[in-house]
Amino acid sequence: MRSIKMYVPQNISELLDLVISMQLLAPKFIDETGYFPFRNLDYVFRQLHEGLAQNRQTLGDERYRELMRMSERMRGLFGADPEDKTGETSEGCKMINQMEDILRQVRRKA
Amino acid sequence: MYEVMRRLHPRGTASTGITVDPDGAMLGPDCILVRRTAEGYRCVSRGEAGALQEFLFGDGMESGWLFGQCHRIAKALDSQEIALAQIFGLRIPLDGLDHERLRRLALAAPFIKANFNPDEPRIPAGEPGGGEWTTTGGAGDAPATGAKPVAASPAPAPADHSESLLSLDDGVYRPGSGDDRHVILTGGAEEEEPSRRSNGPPDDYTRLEDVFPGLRDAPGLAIPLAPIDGFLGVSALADEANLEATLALYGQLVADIKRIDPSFADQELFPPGGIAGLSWQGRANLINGLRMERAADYYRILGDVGPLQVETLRFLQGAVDAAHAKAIKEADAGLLQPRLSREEAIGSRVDSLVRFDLRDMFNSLDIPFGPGNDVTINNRDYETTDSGSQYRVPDARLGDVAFDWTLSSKTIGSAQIRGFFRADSQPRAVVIIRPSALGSVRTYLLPRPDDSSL
Repeated sequence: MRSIKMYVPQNISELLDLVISMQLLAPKFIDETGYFPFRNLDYVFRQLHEGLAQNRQTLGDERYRELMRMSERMRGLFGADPEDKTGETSEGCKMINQMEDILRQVRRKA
Repeated sequence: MYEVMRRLHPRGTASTGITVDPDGAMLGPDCILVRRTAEGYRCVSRGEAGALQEFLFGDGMESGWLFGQCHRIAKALDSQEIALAQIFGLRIPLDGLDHERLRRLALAAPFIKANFNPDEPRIPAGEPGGGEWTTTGGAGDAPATGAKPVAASPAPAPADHSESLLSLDDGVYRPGSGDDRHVILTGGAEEEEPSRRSNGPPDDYTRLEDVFPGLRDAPGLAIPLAPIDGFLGVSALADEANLEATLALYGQLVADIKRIDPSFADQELFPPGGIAGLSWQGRANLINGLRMERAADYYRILGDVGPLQVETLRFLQGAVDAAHAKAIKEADAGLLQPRLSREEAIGSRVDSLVRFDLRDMFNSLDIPFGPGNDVTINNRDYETTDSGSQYRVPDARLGDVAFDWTLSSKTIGSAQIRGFFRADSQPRAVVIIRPSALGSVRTYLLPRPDDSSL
């Protein structure tokens, strides 16, 4: 088994793929292929934060801070509803859709 | 006339040399080299034989020699060729062990004997083929005269399409399957299969030709992924056979990786019981992970992209299936935002998650990807023409093979696919990967057509 080397999205397209993926991985963010046993909620949100930081210049400071706030909020929602029973996971998924829209706008302008 | 004359010794406390008889082979009175069991003759493991060899002969002998000799004795005894077995015994250059060496052998013997439990298949982790004892398939099986490594698959598929569809093997022995991979001696097979012990390609699926029979012939038609169940590692083995197969593959893969990268150290954390303590899925994950690491080493260290193409295909099929199932679930829950249609929304989600997974995978394997690299993921593949250049964006390209994961069937009639082939990278094939849930026509390969068709 290899040691873990975290992948960080390098551009907006890669960031968008991560965000869209999060919707399918929520709320537990556990891998089902068997190749990423280390993947969990904390790990994926670290990837998101690192990816936002990596693309901060393209995003702009204001949008970056907004996305970071959204990310923190999403993380709290998914963490509070790991079994997808209380509605908070659905709320988190809607925020992912909002984040996706923002990133698509950035990509169009870039 | 004879410079060296050796003799075999009768079994017993007075023996000071090699014994070979119908009960097996001994070194002195205490140290078993080959033992008769209900399933046939078994010899010491490679590691034990190596330790004995070093003790007896120091550095004056080729590595693995004693193990090979023990294996030959076992094989001859299995074939009821006692005279041949004794000749092999006589070749072990020992006669008249002195008291001190006999004493030290007696001290070591219980440890070797302890490992002869016939009910306990074993492979010490990381030992190349060593101690990989397995049992024969069933009560009616013949003794292990056709010794072959369990993990060693047969030769690559023959070019004959009709025959090759079923002849591929996933390296898993299935009791009662009627094939002859029933055996027993693994490490000792180097005499018959010398090619595996170099940096040559390993024996299991490592080329697209192995998993797409007919690619060699390039008939111009879509070639289905023939042995899909075996390739993806799904089989209905009994637990013991599953464990044996896993242990054999584990030993083989670790040895393969170490041959390419001697610094490799398996960092897998096993539960109590080791590999036996893993679930079947856990064992499959372990093997798939090591296969991927081996493929990555072939690419990074040896510059051979072939195994990586195969393992990426294996990985992608699982990733596409998992992503598709999740996307369907999200769509059913009304959580996707369809821009054009439900299908488009599902396909878009699958695309993104699989791309994310693949980047995560290659990043962890230190495989460079992106523009300018030989491995690309969702990057432009340019086609230079007299009037300038244009591009297509394959989901991924690894060397000369493009990969496209999709919900819809695509053929060479698709402008997108023809565009992939026209790229400057000149792919020799495009692999189409579709979710298994979509039916029988899922994953297939489109070989490069004549340029006139592009």
